[in-house]
Amino acid sequence: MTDDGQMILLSAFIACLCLVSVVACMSAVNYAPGAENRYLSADTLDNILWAQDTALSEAALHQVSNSPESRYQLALSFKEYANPSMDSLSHCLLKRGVSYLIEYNDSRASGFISSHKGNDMASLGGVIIESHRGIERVYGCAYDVIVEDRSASYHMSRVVTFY
Amino acid sequence: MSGRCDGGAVHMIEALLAAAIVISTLVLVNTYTVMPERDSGDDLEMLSLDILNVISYKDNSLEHPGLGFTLLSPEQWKKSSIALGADIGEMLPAGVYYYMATPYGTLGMRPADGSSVNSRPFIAYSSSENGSGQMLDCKLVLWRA
Repeated sequence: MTDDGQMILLSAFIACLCLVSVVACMSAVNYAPGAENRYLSADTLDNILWAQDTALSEAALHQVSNSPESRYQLALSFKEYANPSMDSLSHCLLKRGVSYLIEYNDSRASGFISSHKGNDMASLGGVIIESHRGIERVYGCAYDVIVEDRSASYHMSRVVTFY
Repeated sequence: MSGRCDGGAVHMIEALLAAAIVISTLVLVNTYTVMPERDSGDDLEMLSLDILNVISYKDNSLEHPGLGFTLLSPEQWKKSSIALGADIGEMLPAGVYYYMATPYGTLGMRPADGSSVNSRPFIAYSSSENGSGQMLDCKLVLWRA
C-alpha cells in the first residue's frame, strides 16, 4: 500500500470517528439525565385532563334545578362542587413537580353558545347552563388550563359538555 | 509507465475502500438515529399506555366498568374492581401480568423479583359522600417474568 493510500484510509477513519462522536453528542442531548424521570408528557397530560373532566362531569350531574331563576345559583354550586377536586388535582401534581392552573373562560363559553343557536343556553362565568324540558342543568363549561413543569408547558382552552 | 498505471489502480482501490468505510458508517449512524432501540421495557410502556387509555375512555357498564366509574368511591371499587381487572387481563399478551395500586386497594399480581417492569402512575377522580371530590394517586404496573 502506498503512502498516499494510507493517508486516504486514515482520513476516512478520522471522518468516521468524527461522525460517531457527533451522533454520541446528539444522543446525550436527547437523553439527558433526569429526562426519563419527568412526570409531565403528552401521555400524562391526557390522564390529567381525563381526571379533571371526570370531576367536572360529576359536579355537573349533581346540579339540577326546576327554576329558571336559579341559573346563577346552579353555576355557583357547580364551581363550588368542582373546586375541591381541582384543588386536589393541583396538589397531586405539585407533589410531582407539576404546576396546574384552571380558570373558567366566559367568552369561550359564550362563543360556544353562539354557535349552538336554538338551544336555551346561557354562560354564567364560563359555566354553560341549559334549559332542557323544563329543567335547568349544567350542560358544559369552558376553561383555560395551564399545566407545566420545568421543561414542558401546555396551555389549552377548551369547552367540555356533559350531555 | 506501467508502474504509474499500477500506482493509479492501487490509489483507486484505496479510495474505494475509504469511500465504502465512510458510507457504511453513515448508513449505521442513520439507522441508529431513525430507529431507536426498543426493548421489552418499551413494549410494556406502550402497552400500559394503551390499556390505561382503553379503560379510561371505554363505555361503562356493570359487566365491563370503566376506570373512572370503578374508582368513584371505595364501595364502587369493591363492586367493580374484579370485573375491571378481568378486562385488563384479557388485553394482555401471554406472559405479561398487571398490578394496579390505588388508595382503595390493589388488583393483579405484584411483580416478581427480577422481572421486566413498567410502572405508569396515573391520577383518577373519586367523589366522596360530602361532595368534596378528590384525586387519587394510582399506578398501573405491567411486568414480564
